[in-house]
Amino acid sequence: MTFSTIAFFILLGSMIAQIVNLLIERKIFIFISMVFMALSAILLLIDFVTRSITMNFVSLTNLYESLIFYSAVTLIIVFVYTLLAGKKALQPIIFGTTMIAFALLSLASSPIVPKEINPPIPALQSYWLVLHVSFAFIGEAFFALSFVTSIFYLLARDEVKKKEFEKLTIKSISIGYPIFTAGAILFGAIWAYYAWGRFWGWDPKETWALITWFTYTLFLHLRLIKKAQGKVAMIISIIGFLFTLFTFFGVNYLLSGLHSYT
Amino acid sequence: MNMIIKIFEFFRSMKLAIVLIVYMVISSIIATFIPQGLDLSYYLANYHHLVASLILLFQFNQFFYSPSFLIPAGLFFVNICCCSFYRVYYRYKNKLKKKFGPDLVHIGIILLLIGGLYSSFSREESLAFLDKGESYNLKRGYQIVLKDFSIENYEDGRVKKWISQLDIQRYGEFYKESRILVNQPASFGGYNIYQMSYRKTLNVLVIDSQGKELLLNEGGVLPLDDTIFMLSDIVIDEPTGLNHAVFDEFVNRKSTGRRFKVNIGESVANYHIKSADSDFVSGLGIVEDRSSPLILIAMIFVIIGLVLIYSREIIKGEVK
Repeated sequence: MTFSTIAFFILLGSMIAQIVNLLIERKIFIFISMVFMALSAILLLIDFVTRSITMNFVSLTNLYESLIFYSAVTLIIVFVYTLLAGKKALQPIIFGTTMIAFALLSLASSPIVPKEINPPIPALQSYWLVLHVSFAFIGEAFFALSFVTSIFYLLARDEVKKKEFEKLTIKSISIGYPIFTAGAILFGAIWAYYAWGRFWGWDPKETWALITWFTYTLFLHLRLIKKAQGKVAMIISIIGFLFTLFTFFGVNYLLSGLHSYT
Repeated sequence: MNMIIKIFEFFRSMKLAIVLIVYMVISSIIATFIPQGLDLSYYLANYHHLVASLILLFQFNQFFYSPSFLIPAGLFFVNICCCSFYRVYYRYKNKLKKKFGPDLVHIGIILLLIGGLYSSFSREESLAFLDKGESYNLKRGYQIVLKDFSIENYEDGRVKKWISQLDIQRYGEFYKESRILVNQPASFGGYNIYQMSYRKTLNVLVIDSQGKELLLNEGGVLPLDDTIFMLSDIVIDEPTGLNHAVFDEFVNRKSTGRRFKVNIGESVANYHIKSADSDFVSGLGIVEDRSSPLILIAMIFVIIGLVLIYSREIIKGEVK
């Protein structure tokens, strides 16, 4: 049994504890879910490190490794949010974001994703690639949080709760956006420059990263127009995250390009 | 004067920026689902004639180089320029608190667009396949000579590294030596040389029935009445470790699907195989693009700007 498989079952335990807490509200279940969440993230990081040592390169070169990293970072972000927010932590947000991390991990554990450890082909042997992929996923993990907060904003009836969800959405996108810009757009362009001699080539993956970037740019600029705040901005935040998912999965299966190894 | 101010206000407006971003997002999404840069007949054959007409009318077949994209992108450039100018001028005039973050990001994007535009006009790119000892002439007296090309493999046979060893000369004199790999290009005199590709070369020496020697490369043919044997590959015979030539059979120009593996010393039709060797030639990407420093500076502007904006917002809790 691999570290990621153990992490999968522990995270399942965390989710069960969260569901029980949502039903009967006992602090002990929050504590259990937090411990399980942390444990799961640690195991995923151990998996990441051991694979990296085995292949003698940072293990971010295929779909399985990307999913493990993405899931671990999402869990760390939820964990840190829960710690920082303390009693003010919004349980539905924690549950929703954990569910995204769980979905990513489920996909990584499924038979459709190959798990072999293969050292990287020449094009992937670049530390700009490592920066590109890691920063892009860290940014996207914050967008995952904003996706959940945006959904709960649209579902909420209470204005105070809506304000809290909106603030958390803006905060997570404000952190994720510069990281995503640096990773997905700029570091990716620098890698392409060293590998293929051009910063930009309108490859479908590049174009979709730009579409996603434009969408979050739109979100951040809408904050400056009063009429467009609130519901419209939240819908754009949801669309933005769906675009990140399409960039990650959809482009690989529906469109062809240079990023076929991811 | 009023008119000029109105025009300026229009071009710097946030609403224009939003409309342009929404347009670029939607049109780019459509463009990614349409194969780019293919022959017009492809679109006419594969789409309903109305859809094909629309694709060709709005140039969605080469969208990112068409006016449908470049005009909005140009307007976006003007929008950012006007917005940045206004922000800097307004703050200076009213002696407002200095918040440079958004300005740095906007200036970075302006520089990126200028760099991209300059690159599209000035960039020169070519691909040269060189065998060991071959050379390639560049401008300003430069010449590259491939001294060696090697391939390193992992234990499972997958390629680990392609390595080209180059001698760079200028006006016939030695200039410098470079070892290039994928992700590690060589730079000199405004040129970047990339390890882009490789190609297998085949050399098979045959003797015909009259004792005449013939040298065949990939695709070379040996005729016999209405049958031809085309050289398609050279593979190593596992037990013996010897090369053998692979020929595909064609009768009346149609493939029979039959493939012959012929060892050295054996014959195909009336031809005797004397030797069979394969080698790899290096595919070098030669790029001359002087916009790269500008683009790198632009990226630094964007990163510093973003850090300034959002670190202030997050640390000081200024998120509104």
